[in-house]
Amino acid sequence: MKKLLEALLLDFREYVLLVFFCLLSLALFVNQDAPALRLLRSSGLEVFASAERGFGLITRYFGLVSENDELHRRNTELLAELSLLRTAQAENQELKSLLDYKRRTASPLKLAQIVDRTFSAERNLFTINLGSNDSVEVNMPVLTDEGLVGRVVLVSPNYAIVQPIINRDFKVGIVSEKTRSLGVLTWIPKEQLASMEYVLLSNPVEVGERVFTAQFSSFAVPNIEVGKIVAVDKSEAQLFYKIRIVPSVNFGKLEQVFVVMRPTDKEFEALRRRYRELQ
Amino acid sequence: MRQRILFYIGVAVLLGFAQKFLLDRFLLYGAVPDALIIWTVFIARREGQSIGTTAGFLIGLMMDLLHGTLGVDALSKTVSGFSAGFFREIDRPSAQNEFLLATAIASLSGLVALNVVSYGFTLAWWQYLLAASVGIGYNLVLGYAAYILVLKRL
Repeated sequence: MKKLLEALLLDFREYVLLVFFCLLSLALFVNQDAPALRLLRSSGLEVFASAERGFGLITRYFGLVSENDELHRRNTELLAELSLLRTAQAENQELKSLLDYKRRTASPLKLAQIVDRTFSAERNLFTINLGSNDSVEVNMPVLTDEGLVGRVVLVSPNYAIVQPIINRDFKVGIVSEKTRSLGVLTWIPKEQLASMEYVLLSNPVEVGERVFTAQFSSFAVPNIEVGKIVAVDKSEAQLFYKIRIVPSVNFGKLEQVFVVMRPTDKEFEALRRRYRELQ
Repeated sequence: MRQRILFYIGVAVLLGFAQKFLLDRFLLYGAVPDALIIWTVFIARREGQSIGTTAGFLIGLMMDLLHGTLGVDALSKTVSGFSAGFFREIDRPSAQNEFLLATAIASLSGLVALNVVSYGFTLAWWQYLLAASVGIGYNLVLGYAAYILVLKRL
């Protein structure tokens, strides 16, 4: 046994190291949402984002920034008002005015600067310069004056990572503007388009319709514009449509975003977690 | 030896920031020029396969902390360091060609590991091929420039 161990450590040391480090890497990958590793990622994010922000400041035009920020904020507020008016037109006016009273109350927005982007074919991520010190929490929606950007998935004291729509792991409940068909939005990296999933063939859907976040979304406030339907196909599908959507936000030009400061519904989250445990 | 290790760590940290702030912006078909692979290859060729594999893991872990997703780069660079270790520097006259060959092999093996962990088999075959080709091409150009300008003098 001792000789075998010696042989392994001396003659096959390189292979033992390779296997050990590969297993360690895979363990880190699989367990990266464990509390200790989240803390490690948050700390890493804090250090590197601080450095990156320093670099980013060099390239900014100081004089125009505050004016630009203010205009963006105003634009987003106007968009939010417009979205609410569109919904009010499409639904029963009286009932809506009663049921949506709380919903129409504008949620407070906080302006954030994108200080880093992680580029990838499938898993794009942004880092913003707001964190838990600014009361930002995981699952808060992020948007611009063009529409929904994504949601916060990791928070450190001064920074947060945003998972945008153009990430394979992103999902949000959506509803079409005209036909009120409900579905779930996911990103299709192969096609560089989003997909509206789980829309039954019995529901009417039209090309050109805009889609908005739905009431049942687990994190997003309702009625934020998400994108526009560009293709509807039922030839390949059996039970559901194959619907493709172009996001309304131009992710290539994104510099500032707004975080909707809506705290997570703890009771609702606890219920969901409980249900997942029971599954 | 301690001085050399500190030198390797110092350069890796500097290259990590250069990678994040500059080279990551050159994303093309899912691949970017990877300065850390070049550095891993250099270490592996000079110090051997065991240190190359370990250096690859540590450098990958540093990049994982920069990117916010743990494990992916660590695995990819570990495999790259191990592959590059097969080309340990012995014969100086042919060092440049061996270095470039090691860079190409390390890039390919690293990209394969990266894609398998990141995407599984969800992309079309030509997307993997394109990413691998662009990644190797990028790293060969970067590796050649780095070798001519700096590495051969170290």
